[in-house]
Amino acid sequence: MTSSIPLINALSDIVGKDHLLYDAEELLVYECDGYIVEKKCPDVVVFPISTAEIVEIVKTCNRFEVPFVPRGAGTSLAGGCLPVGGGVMIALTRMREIHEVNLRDGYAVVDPGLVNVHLTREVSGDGFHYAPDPSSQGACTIGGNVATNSGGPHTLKYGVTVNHVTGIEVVLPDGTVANWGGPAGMPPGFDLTGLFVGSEGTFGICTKATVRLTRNPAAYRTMLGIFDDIQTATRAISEIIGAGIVPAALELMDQGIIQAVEAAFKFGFPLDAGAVVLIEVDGLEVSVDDEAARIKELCHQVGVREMRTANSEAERLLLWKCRKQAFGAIGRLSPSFCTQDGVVPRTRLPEILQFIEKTSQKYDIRIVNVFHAGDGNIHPILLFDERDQAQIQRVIEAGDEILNKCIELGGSVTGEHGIGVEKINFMPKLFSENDLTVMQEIREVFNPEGNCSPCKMLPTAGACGMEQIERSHPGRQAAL
Amino acid sequence: MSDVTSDPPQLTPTCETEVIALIKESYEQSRAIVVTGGGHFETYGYPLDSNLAKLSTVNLNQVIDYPSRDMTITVEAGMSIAALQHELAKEGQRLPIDVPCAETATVGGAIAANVFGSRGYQLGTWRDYLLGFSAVDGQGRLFKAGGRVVKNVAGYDLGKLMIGSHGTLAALTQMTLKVKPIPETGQFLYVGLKESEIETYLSSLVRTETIPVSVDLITPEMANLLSIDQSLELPIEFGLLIGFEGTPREVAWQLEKIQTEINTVGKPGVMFAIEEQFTDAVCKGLSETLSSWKSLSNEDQVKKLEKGHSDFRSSTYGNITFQASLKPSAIEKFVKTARTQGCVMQSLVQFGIVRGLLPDMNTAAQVIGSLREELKKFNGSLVVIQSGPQWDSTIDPFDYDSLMLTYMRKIKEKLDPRNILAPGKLFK
Ligand SMILES: Cc1cc2nc3c(=O)[nH]c(=O)nc-3n(C[C@H](O)[C@H](O)[C@H](O)COP(=O)(O)OP(=O)(O)OC[C@H]3O[C@@H](n4cnc5c(N)ncnc54)[C@H](O)[C@@H]3O)c2cc1C
Repeated sequence: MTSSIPLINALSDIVGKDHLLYDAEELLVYECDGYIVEKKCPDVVVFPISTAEIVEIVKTCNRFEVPFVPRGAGTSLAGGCLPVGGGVMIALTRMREIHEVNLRDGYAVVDPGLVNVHLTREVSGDGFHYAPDPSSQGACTIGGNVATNSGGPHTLKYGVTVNHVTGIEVVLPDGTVANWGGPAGMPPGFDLTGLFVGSEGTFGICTKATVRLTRNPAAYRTMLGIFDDIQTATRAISEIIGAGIVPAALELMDQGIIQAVEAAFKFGFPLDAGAVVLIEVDGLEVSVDDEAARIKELCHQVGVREMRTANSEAERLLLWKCRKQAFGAIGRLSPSFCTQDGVVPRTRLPEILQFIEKTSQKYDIRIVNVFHAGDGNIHPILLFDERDQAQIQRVIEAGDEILNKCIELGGSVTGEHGIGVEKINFMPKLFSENDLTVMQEIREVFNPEGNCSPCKMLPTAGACGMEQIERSHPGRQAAL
Repeated sequence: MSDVTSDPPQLTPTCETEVIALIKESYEQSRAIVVTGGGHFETYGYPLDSNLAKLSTVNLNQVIDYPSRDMTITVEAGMSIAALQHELAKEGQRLPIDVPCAETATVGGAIAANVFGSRGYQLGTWRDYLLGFSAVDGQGRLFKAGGRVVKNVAGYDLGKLMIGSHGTLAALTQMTLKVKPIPETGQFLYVGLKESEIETYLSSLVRTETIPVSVDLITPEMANLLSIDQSLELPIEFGLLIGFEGTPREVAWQLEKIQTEINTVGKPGVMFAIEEQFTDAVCKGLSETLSSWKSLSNEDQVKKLEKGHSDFRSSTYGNITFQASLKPSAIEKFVKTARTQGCVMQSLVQFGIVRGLLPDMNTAAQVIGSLREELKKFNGSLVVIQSGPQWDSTIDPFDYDSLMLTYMRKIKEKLDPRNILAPGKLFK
């Protein structure tokens, strides 16, 4: 589809000529998000500043019969922002206001384009934070988090996005503005807020979110378990969870990642370790030491080589920096990489990691791991050189094999990144025809014409321009 | 010819296949049915035609899979909450959701009715524990969503739709739940306070260094009911019941700490840690007293109330209970107003929820109306939870906003196009 002058004029009348892009070169930035395997430029990108402008944009798109897709920071790793079929991309990055912070009642009302960590910064002086902390929190937006139901290292104990969103304002695909939930108790009716969270932009555009604010814990103990091999590390994780301990975070990095992170941050990780596990407990000052001691004991029982404890806040922050910026360090290992986001029952971690190792050997593709181990949410990162066509094919096959194994072990193909366009073909493997039909019908309630974020999440919604996507190759892709 | 005096038919399928067959048949014949578990929410919402066939899930009561070290369990919908907790306790685990009448309430029913207590703010409600489910919709289609792992964003989270849908969208057949370890111990602190000090104390709790699992505010009349119901000796005044759980050391430290904090806020009335042996009774009382009040005969209640406390305001308590939603900071104002209207109340403080019992069936419509007026000031809302047999049709149990209603209808049309599942229960 080529953008029509009348459409551009109509959109320009709404947002002003400085707040839309339609020049082919400028549009290139928006041809993909963090998932760069598939690319497609939108015809126009608009940058509204208010709910009212979004309503007008949506109505205009409907009048011109063009599809539209919301976009936050574009850090999606599943191609959620891909403008399948072209059309209008509604970029929410100008809408980043914090409308209300109410510490007494424990909530904030924020714009969709607000960067996740900015909310925590706003309230940290008062001893509060916004609990969902995706590793991308320095860039990703609350609206994007709502759409994908983001998790993060600390969501093991505190819950993912949906557990912290109590209300939303939404512009529905027909331009209606709906307000669901809010800060006050449990209003009557279905939990449409909960249903919307994780709908990946296919039910409409979130234009405001009411989120819970969480008190900062009084105390932390942050430990690093150093293991000779990854199998022992995963056994330790199973033991900790199996013993009924839910730490605030439980994150694993294998040898490949340790080496890359050490080169980047010089923390002092032992380079010969098979894996390290970053374990944080938090809560009352009186309880963190007991809990840390129990965890250490369990790690020793399975044969940990060494347990270290962060001795200062600075050391703790450095450990977290290593973990959260691990993806940045991966560039040291390989020119290109591709991340998967499978989930297995937590006790099956040793099995899936063994399988990943075998798959790596089978396809002769190096795979490194850094992931939210406490949730059983793996992020195998497949390293390759994108100039090598044969390698690319092997990466795709290896990735698919790992996700199929996750399903076989009773898990899922995505714990937090979403289905997007990337994993759409796995949906029939996870769900029956009935399941998918019901999901499709629920989508039709909100998005009957299918013009909002077409071709995402459900394979049944296909046949609408997928052929126009450049199916190139697994590209250099951000991890975790 | 139908016999109007005979009991409505009871359908008690023993497997998912039978549920599918029964609902399909009803769908084909456009015959309405009600899906029931323990039957505790039969009087919730608009009254249903009493001749509707009942599809009871109580024979679907098996554990399907319990990988305890993964801390998840998959069970059938008709399993009772008590049976579930019993199963979990064998592994030192539990589902920390307070469901009244646990012996008869079913897992499916509790999800459909979204039952929870004040521990839910800290520990979570059904929306935080339901990982996946299977259900049969109004066309007899078996479908599922979610999965069996603790983290999963594949597909739409239709579980959120099932929670609180009161069997109007589908009959739940199976669910996977996240579970938690049983804490070593738990204890409540009781704090007596004056009506005019409610907000002072509640707002101070926002900054406590402790981590209460629950905070309930009870009015003097509620303290009275609780005392009678659970054989507790609570002072008959406004009180806070603050719950702690954890290791004995954690609980002891928090009980001490919070008392110090409260003493710096003002001069509370009586303040004491309730002995540990009464923890279960307090929990049970907080989750059950209001909702099960109707199970005692009115005469009994009145006698007990009058015997214990001659200043008790009303001897005509009916069995209409309500749930008001408002911001926590507005609780004091609302409670004051509602109390002048004679309501007995308990507030799940952190949620911003006030549950109450209406004083008198005859004035119910008027009281509900005026409470709703009051709630409008705080953008709050009110739902009638139990309405009892003498339903006053002038009372609307819900105060939905119109767009919510529109979308509820649209969703129901998709899953139950012939409107056979509890027709008219949530909306006409
Ligand atoms: C380095 C890195 C680390 C990451 N770590 C994590 C992690 O730890 N946990 C995790 O869960 N994810 C992680 N991600 C993935 C990604 O950051 C999250 O999915 C995030 O929530 C996306 O936010 P965004 O603002 O970038 O959204 P976008 O990428 O812009 O959009 C994501 C999806 O949401 C839709 N959308 C965006 N805004 C709205 C809106 N207002 N209304 C409706 N739909 C909307 C889009 O259409 C798209 O489908 C990571 C990504 C990177 C690059």
